[in-house]
Amino acid sequence: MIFEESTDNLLQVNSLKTYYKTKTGFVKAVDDVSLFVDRAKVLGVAGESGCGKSTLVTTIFRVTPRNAQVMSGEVKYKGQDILNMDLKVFRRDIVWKEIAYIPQASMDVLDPVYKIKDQMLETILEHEDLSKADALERIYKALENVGVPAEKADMFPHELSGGQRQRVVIAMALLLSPSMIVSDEATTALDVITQAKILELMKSLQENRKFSMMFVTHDLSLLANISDSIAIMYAGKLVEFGDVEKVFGNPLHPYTQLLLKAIPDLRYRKQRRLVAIPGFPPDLENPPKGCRFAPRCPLAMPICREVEPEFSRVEGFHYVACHAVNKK
Amino acid sequence: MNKLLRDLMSRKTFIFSVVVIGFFAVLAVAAPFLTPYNNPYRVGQQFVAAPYAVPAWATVFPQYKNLPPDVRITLTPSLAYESSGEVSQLNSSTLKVTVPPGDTVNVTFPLRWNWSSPYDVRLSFTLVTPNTQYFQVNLFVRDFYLMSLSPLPIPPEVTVVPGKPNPVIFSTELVNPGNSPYVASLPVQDQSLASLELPKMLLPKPGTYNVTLSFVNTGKTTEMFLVTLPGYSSLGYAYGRLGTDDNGASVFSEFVYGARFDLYLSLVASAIIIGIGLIIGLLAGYVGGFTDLTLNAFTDFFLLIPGLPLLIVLISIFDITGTIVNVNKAVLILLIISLLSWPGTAKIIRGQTLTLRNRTFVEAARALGESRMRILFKHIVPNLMGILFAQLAYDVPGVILAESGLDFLGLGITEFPTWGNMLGYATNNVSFVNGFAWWWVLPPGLGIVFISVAFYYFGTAMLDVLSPYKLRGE
Amino acid sequence: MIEGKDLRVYFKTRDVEVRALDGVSVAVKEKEIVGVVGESGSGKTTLGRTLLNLQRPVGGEVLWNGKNVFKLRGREEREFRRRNQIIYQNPYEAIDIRLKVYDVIAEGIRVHRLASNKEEEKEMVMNALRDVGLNPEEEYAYSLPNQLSGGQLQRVAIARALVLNPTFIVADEPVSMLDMSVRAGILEIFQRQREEKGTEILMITHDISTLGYIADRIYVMYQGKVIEHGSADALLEKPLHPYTQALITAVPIPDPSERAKLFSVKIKEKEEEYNGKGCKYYPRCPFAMQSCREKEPELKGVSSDHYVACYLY
Ligand SMILES: Nc1ncnc2c1ncn2[C@@H]1O[C@H](COP(=O)(O)OP(=O)(O)O)[C@@H](O)[C@H]1O
Ligand SMILES: Nc1ncnc2c1ncn2[C@@H]1O[C@H](COP(=O)(O)OP(=O)(O)O)[C@@H](O)[C@H]1O
Ligand code: SF4
Ligand SMILES: [Mg+2]
Ligand SMILES: [Mg+2]
Repeated sequence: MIFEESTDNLLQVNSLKTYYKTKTGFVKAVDDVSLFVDRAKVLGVAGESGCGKSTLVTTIFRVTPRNAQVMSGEVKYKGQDILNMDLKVFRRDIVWKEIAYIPQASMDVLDPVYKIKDQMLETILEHEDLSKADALERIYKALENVGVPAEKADMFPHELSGGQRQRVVIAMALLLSPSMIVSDEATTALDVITQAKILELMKSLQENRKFSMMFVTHDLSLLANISDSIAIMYAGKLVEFGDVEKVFGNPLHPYTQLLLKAIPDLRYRKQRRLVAIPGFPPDLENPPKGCRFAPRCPLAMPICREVEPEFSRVEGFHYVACHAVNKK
Repeated sequence: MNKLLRDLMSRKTFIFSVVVIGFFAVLAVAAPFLTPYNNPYRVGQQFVAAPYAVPAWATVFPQYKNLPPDVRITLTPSLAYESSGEVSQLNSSTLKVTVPPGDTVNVTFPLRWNWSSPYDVRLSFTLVTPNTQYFQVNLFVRDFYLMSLSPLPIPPEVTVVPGKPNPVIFSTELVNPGNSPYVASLPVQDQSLASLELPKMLLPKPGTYNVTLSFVNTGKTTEMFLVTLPGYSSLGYAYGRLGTDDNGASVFSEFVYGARFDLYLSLVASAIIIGIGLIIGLLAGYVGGFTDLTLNAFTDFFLLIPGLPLLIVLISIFDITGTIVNVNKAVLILLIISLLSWPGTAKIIRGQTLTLRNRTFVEAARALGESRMRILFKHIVPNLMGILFAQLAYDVPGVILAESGLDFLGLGITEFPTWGNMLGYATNNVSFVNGFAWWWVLPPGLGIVFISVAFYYFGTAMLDVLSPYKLRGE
Repeated sequence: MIEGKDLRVYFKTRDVEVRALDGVSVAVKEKEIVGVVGESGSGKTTLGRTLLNLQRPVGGEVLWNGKNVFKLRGREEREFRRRNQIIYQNPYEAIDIRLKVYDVIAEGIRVHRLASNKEEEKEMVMNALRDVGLNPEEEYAYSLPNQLSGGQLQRVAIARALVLNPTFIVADEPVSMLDMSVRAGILEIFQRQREEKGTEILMITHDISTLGYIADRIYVMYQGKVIEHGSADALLEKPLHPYTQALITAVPIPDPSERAKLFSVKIKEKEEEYNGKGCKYYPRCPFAMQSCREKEPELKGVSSDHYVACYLY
């Protein structure tokens, strides 16, 4: 799929299919997803849990579980096909240096038995030819940039608070000045205030350093605050993709509309009721025929249960896969 | 339940454990049907074949190829006598031999022998002699003058009563200069070795050998002898499923009854260990406070006792002093092992109970108004099932090894076979045999290994499927 | 009506003493949904557990219809257990997942002998399942907990409580583990329960925005203290305590044009340790004054339904 809106393309995902092989068949966790991230832009990816967000991220970063299989499609970074690149080369040239990854459980990134300093040192020295003193200098600066006092570098991960740990992970991700950061539910386990602070930090770093970001979360309201474009996934499919203003201002897919209505918004607490999306996401081993959202969709028509809606442009940078929209 | 089963069946280790345990369980239960010898350590049940007989099936290997099995046949006379009037068939099992005065009639029984020499040679028949004093009956195998029967015994002749049926038995085991002319003819220093050497001389290799009865009539009238067809029997060097031990007792019987005892012991001991461990662990973990402190100290005390050494000392004391005469030694060993082994289980149950007690779903049960007892039996104990099975997995091999260790050292049970003392006797006797009696050592050795591994796998599989909170809970 | 007065719960772990509740007073009146909000570790769960006599306080008392719940025995205690229920944050933890859904729900009925026979029990269980929106209820009743999604299992947990006809429910972060898209459905069950049966609910959460939709009154907790409480309207529209203000500002608004707001949360990184005597919030408070370091502020009424513990007022 060619996106005309991509003016300064950094990462391009083309018709990507990643399935998990199970005893009984294939879990179609990412099924024909195409999207892009431009340089210095933030793409937000949202959807209910289990819709394939993490699978998309781990496919790009090539850290999928062993039973995952890329069935087709490609991921291009700076025009290079990174899925078919030699894994050693990928680890050496792309990981950390070009794309850094912030997973949900930041404790997983930080090894509890090493000091913060040593872990960061290893990351630098593995990729760059630098004296230890210079590297340490850079580490202290990186920590200060994320609001962690430099003396914490001598501590072990468990001696830091959750927010601070997340900051350390961000500092680590930025150590080698990558052009892109991929974060998967980076703030999910944090308190609201800490979350706001971390988001503020990530956004300001992103704006200052002009890296691109792929920010994955189940919380759509976060994305309104930090992203330039939004991709909504449902049951392994990309259902809506577009400019952040367009998606929030004029959500087209019924799923997006319902998701937005499910978010509590203190400004309208008196006028609106919170709405729940009826039913549950489908089993991705045997997804429903036609549109995968049809069983839960208030606008579903007979055709929705038969034919899969095409993912197509509505106007400007705004794509949607829905029969109800395409008909208009 | 179904899901549980399916989950279990999908584990190869579990299938393995069930097959192995099932196999030994069947052996143990069916033991009386599998073998007639319920205690091969009793003298009466020994010498079912030669000592160190190899398993019968082992004769497929070249080095055991010609070893004879136990043989028991009735010899028939060679056909040559059919025509002569001196020897006739009285009925199917008895020959009538008519000997003219002053004459001798030889009746030859060919013995077809397909193997190397047997352990011994036995011949038996019943002889009715004429009612006179003037006769003699001699037994030859090949040219060896083995036995001489006469009414007037002058050693090495053997007495028979004239005119009556006389059961006659010749056995290489029993020969001496007093009952066998051949042995009497040997130089004195060789006479005592005769019973060992004779079988090799009588039946040195495959071939047909003649057993001859020669009837001598020294009287003045024609006399008539009746003789039953002689029975030949010998103990072989290839026997049964698992051969024999140094006493010629069936190793298979020992193995089967050993399995019976070991399984029985480990199940009962494990039940006691787990029973005590569960009660003490549960009480300590669930009641807590002072109870916990006391029970924990008690457990630690038992835990710190060095198990095996104490076991050995205790058993030796009981043995030497004979303090407890009325108690079966096996029961004693079982009790001592159980009493020394529960603390580990108790500790683990206690720890698990403590963590379970603090879990949200237990608090939720409390919030629902459930009583302490109900929580204990509805939520705590069922969730301990996995751990209990895991304990079974560690305890059963532990008990088997401890008991086998004692037996191996000769400190435990000696009166009947267990895997432990099979191993012990087998290794003690290694030097006596040419090489090593693998059929005697391997079954109990492998038995111990397999049953231990099987119980271990069984327990860990059950732990896996039964303790969702430990391994699967999020 | 349930009321906690000056509750104090201290936990000793090794050498440090954590004051999970440090003189907390709350009241849940007839037919009220009361919200409790605060960051993790502020003592919300401990408060809920103490109110239900699942945690003994070192000081203070809990009155249930005027009776001290820590002194209830026998029949009264059983009645208290039946009428006061709790919903936990993680349903997979709060339910003995060996049991079938049916038995999970029937447990309470059996303990309190609410059904005279099997049919009656079954009917109660099925009704409860239907009430929490799990249909076809037959199908759910005989499934195992780990076959259900978090949202479905949380409904089971709620059914387990509702089947006893409670008059008061502590809902401890009942939706924070769940997807946004199913939260509204769960909250609705509580709202309906209050409207139809007049059940009082203590809704604990770390996300103040959901309280805006369902709570009548809100308590804001910070490190074992109530630092502000009042009617939901007063508190949300005119938050007084700097911490409450930060909590409200930190709620992300699903509207790209309001970005600036999320990034204007006024709170400091903790630069110094709490000195043990001042306002617990001063190390992070951007408005802290000298007086804040010296003595803890008391809760003061700024209007009949709005109280705050802060020297700024
Ligand atoms: N290793 C795996 N094997 C089989 N199925 C998996 C595996 N990992 C994830 N899945 C399934 O793939 C789907 C997508 O999962 P995931 O990408 O983690 O979703 P999200 O991050 O959006 O919550 C889910 O239905 C999940 O159950
Ligand atoms: N059983 C306990 N033992 C020791 N400390 C506890 C226990 N329960 C809670 N705490 C501590 O009390 C404080 C308040 O905890 P909690 O009530 O769970 O807070 P919240 O629910 O607001 O996150 C925390 O510091 C926590 O570590
Ligand atoms: S009392 Fe002082 S420190 Fe505490 S919140 Fe108010 S202004 Fe901040
Ligand atoms: Mg995920
Ligand atoms: Mg809590």
